[in-house]
Amino acid sequence: MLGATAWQDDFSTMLQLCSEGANVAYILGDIGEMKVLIDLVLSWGSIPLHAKFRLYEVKILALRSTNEFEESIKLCTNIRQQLGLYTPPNKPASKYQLLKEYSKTLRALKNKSAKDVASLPRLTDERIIFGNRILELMSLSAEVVQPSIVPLISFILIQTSLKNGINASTSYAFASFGLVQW
Amino acid sequence: MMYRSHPLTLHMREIKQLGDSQISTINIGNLTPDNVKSLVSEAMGMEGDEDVVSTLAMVVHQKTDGNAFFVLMFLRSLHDQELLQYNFGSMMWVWDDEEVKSQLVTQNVATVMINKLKGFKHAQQTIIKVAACLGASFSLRIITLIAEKMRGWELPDDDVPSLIKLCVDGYVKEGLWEKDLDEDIISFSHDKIQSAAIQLISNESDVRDKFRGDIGNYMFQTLDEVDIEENLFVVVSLRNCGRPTLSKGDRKALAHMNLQAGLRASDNAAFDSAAKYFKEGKTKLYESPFL
Repeated sequence: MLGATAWQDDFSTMLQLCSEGANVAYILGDIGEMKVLIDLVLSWGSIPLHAKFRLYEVKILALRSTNEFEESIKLCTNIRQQLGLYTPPNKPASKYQLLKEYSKTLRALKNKSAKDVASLPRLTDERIIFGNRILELMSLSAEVVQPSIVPLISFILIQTSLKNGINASTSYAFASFGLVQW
Repeated sequence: MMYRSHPLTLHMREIKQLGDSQISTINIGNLTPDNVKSLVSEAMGMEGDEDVVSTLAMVVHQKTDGNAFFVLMFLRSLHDQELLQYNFGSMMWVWDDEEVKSQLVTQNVATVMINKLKGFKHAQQTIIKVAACLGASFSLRIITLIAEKMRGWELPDDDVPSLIKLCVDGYVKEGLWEKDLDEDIISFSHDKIQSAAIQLISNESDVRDKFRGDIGNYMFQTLDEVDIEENLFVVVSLRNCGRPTLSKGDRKALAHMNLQAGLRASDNAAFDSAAKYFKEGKTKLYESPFL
């Protein structure tokens, strides 16, 4: 296979060149080129999930941009599953479920000021970081096709942040939490 | 005439980005034949005597399309070729209408510019070629470092700093280069001059690319980490032009540089060039003379 040595030679450089290339192609609206790059990496089996993360992120964004919301939710769920993280199923959430998670979140936030939350330790567990980002992306698609799980997603994101630490996804979580309360 | 890196242009762009003030662009356009006539007659000290200069003015307008910068360049080149002379007897500028017309009929401004550059010493020409590779503006310190590397090979074994000084003095005097407020930065007065200097390297794009690639490699070998970091886009773009004769390790390093350049371009929202760097990096990793 032509270039097979190059892959092994400098795998991480190649992976980044393809992932970032796919991201830029997506931004420039060159979906064809983006797909070529994503498929190239995915075709090269046995890559650990975390290495493919950036690529999946681009793929989810692209699915959203072409209105393939169901597909993007499916992919998000699949990735979360591979990460061993719980994901709300893609069906209308019950009132009971919503209230349960809401009060759980409120309890977790009890006696915590905004400053307290902001001074929580940074999230360092890569698995959780990926998982949160995927939830964030999933929530954007769910808004269109499955709006009732959007609050559930923000509850999960807040609970995870309080438990494991904060990062960029936390601000998204609180912003959407604010919307839910409103 | 638009100066790409003119402080005003940059400042205007900043103001536009702020978005809360209205900026309207007034397009001035090129000089009309009548404008050129007045300009030429005034330059010759012949105001009110415009009939005398009308043929000359017509030729000038034809050659320059009325671009004010080119008009000046063109008049200077006439003077350089002694087609335009000052007669101390009559205390007047003199020229031969017929000669001006016939001699220059095939020359356009680009050729005039290249011929102008060819009038300089060979070593000086080499420096302006290198400068053109570095961009519309460049640092004297950096170009000195590159020239040191070329000494005894592409450049004569002279004292490099004095050669650079000679270039700056000469080119600034002729209006080809402009000094920045920051003494170290020099800019080409017009992008046509920069492209003329690139033309001067060679008419063949292969040869030009090899030259660019060589300059990129010199920079890579000579500059320290901080300088490379600062000139990352230039170094990477130049090195990408070079032929794929690099060793395996060098190709890998270049692929990695392309990745860095792409990431930075991406951070600056320059996605078009980011895409180019990523693509180039990918090719560099795939390319192998052994396959």
